[in-house]
Amino acid sequence: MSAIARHGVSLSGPEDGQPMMFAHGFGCDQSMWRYVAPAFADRYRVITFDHVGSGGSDVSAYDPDKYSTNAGYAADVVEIVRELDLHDVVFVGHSVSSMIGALAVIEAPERFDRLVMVSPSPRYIDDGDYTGGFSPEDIDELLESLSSNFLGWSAAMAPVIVGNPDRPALGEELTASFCRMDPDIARRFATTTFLSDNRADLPMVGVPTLVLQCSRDAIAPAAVGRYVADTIPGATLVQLDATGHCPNLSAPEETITAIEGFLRQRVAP
Amino acid sequence: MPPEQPRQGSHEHVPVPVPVPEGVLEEELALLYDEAPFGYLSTTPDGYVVRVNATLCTWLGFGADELLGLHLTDLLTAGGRIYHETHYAPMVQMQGFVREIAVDLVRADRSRLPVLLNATLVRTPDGEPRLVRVAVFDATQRRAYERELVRARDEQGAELKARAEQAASATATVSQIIDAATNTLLIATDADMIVTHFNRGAEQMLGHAAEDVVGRPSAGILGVEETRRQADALGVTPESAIIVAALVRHGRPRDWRITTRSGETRTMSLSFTEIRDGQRLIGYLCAGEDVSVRLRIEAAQAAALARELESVARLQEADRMKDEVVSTISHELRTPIASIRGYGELLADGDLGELTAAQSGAVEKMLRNAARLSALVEDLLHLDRIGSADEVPLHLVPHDLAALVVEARDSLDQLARGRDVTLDVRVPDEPVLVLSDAQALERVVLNLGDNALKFTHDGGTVTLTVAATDAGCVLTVADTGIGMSEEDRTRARGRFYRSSEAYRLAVPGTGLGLSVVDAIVAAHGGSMEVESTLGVGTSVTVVFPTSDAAAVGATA
Repeated sequence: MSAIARHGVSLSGPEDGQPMMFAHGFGCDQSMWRYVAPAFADRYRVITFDHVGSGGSDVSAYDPDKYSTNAGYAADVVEIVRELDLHDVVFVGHSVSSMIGALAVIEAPERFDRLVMVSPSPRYIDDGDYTGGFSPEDIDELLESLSSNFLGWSAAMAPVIVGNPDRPALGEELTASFCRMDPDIARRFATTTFLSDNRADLPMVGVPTLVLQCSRDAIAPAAVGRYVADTIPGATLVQLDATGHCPNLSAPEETITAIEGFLRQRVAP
Repeated sequence: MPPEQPRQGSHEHVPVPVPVPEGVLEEELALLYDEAPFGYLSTTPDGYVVRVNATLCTWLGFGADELLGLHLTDLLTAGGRIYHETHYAPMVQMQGFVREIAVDLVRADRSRLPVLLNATLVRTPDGEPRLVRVAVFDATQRRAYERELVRARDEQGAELKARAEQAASATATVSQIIDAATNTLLIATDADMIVTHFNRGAEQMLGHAAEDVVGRPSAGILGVEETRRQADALGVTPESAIIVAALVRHGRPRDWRITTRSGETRTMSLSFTEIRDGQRLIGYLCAGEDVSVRLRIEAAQAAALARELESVARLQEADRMKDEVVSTISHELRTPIASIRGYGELLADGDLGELTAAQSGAVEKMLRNAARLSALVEDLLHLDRIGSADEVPLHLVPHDLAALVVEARDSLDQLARGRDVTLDVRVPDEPVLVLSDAQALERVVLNLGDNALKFTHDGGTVTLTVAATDAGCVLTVADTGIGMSEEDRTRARGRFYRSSEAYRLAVPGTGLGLSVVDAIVAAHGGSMEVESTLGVGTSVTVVFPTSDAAAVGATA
């Protein structure tokens, strides 16, 4: 199966436009970009896709070993880029996909032009002087919360737990949600994401990089965004007014404007 | 079509406005909002709390004013905050609602309240996000129940898994045991005689690979012809279900001639049993071994045994014929010898005219040799009588042993004629009665006397003594002859045994004498003792039992 089919790749915009690739983070799927990506489709060749295990990807391709590290996801990104024969790619990654994008850029620098990191964190757990914002116990609690809460899990348990035969649509509604995901894969993806540590990779990112940092981001605190921007050579940090972790949803206009500003910048060769 | 009429008698609900004083409904709604059994809160689209009901404040231990202005994530645990950012917020923003999101709220006292959140995004008329309404359900009991369900499900799953593993392991063990039996053929079939298992022993014996026969009818392996033959032997119709039932009933192994894959015919000893799952018949097990080699060995052993029995029979027949010949010849010799001796004695006594000294010497030699021949014949006849299977019973009557010895003296004198051997006979005056066969008793005396004379040099003495003792009637024949070594002495009773001295000195004889005596004495219930010292002499003592009948006979 081709990488394009495996990842439910969507293409839009002029075929000869500069490729702009949007990657979703842990949680939902490529529809996270639906308020942002179309804004670039007039000039750019826009590529959106789902990570294996998410959205419309081929779940049977899920390999627990491969996807136990961000590098496994980055290999998929490079594979898609090569299969579509893309060059000068602008890679826009949200959350953990900012790190996946950084790894892809390091893996195949000849294919990438710029990197946009939306709400990135190279490490979520505090480590010595480094403040990621979470303790290992917090991550355990998240995994616990996923286990007892996840939508896919609800679907499995809904007939029993909801115990409401008058409303069979309830379970369906939940599983038909755009955030649906196999609970086992969700748990593994969360583990990979929140236990990852890509701090050492950041200095090797060799393309112009933009870091978008929200206020009041419960996942990636402002200090983490600063750390990322400081560690990647020549990276630009833009502080958004948007709150939360998903400016692509809560503040698409501001996000688009910030990215466009970055793309307009002339970068010294 | 007639115009549609309002249906009469229908129970359709027709709302009737009920007058309510102004302000009451608003008051009710406010009360319901605040005191409902659910928590309510409203947030801005990006999550800041703008309104909260009294129930939620009570649940959390906060005053309403303390909650206003907080962000929803401020009320969540760290894990809940991540979940909020990755799921709750995107879903509210993208699909406009969330249903039954399970999170823990953190109370003022830092304890946790498990809740379910239902949230709805409220938009302005022109579609801009305006508020998020959140209904909060206390899920403490439900969460506990869910945990219990999950625990039960996991336990059940673990138990099922363990049971499946156990079953798989048992199956594997049985398979290994079955396959390890390389000297035993094991073929399992289902109830329709389709092969389900073909063990390694079966593979080796029959040459088929398991994968080639599993799933096929067993008749292909056992052979249609042979199966029919077995059916005939068991007296059933050659229909597989009937045959196998008959074989199971038969119970014991039967020999089957089976053609292997290579075309070789081998004999297999096969037994059939049913495989049952409780009451249900699920198949058959055919167990067996290759008995071709065993049958060949058994046949060879039987042939060898038959040959051996045949040669034993031939030997016995030859032995019997030999005995018959000896017996016949002995009988036939008796009369002519008696005649020779009779005429010889007439000649020696001069009844047929005076003989010259040379003629007398010749006649004497004739008589001596005739006497020896006679003794030999008698010995053979005695052995024949006593030793043969169809033994002729001895005719036992009381005889006076003392008188018999005195009478025998004449015969012994004759044997000693021309020899310088003193013959000393010592018998009591009273008769010593022995319950005996007259001829046999005479042979005992003559054989012992003849032996003693033969082995005694000139100048020696042979003493015959008869005595009645407490132990019985005793006859002792002692000589001052060459004697025997200890080895010769112990073997002297043996038939045809001759001592080394007898050979060395070329003493004539057959070696039968002492064995005949021993046999006769034993037949009379007596015993014989031989004492001897090499170069000094030999003494043979024979003891016959004293018989009351003998005493009666003596007085009669």
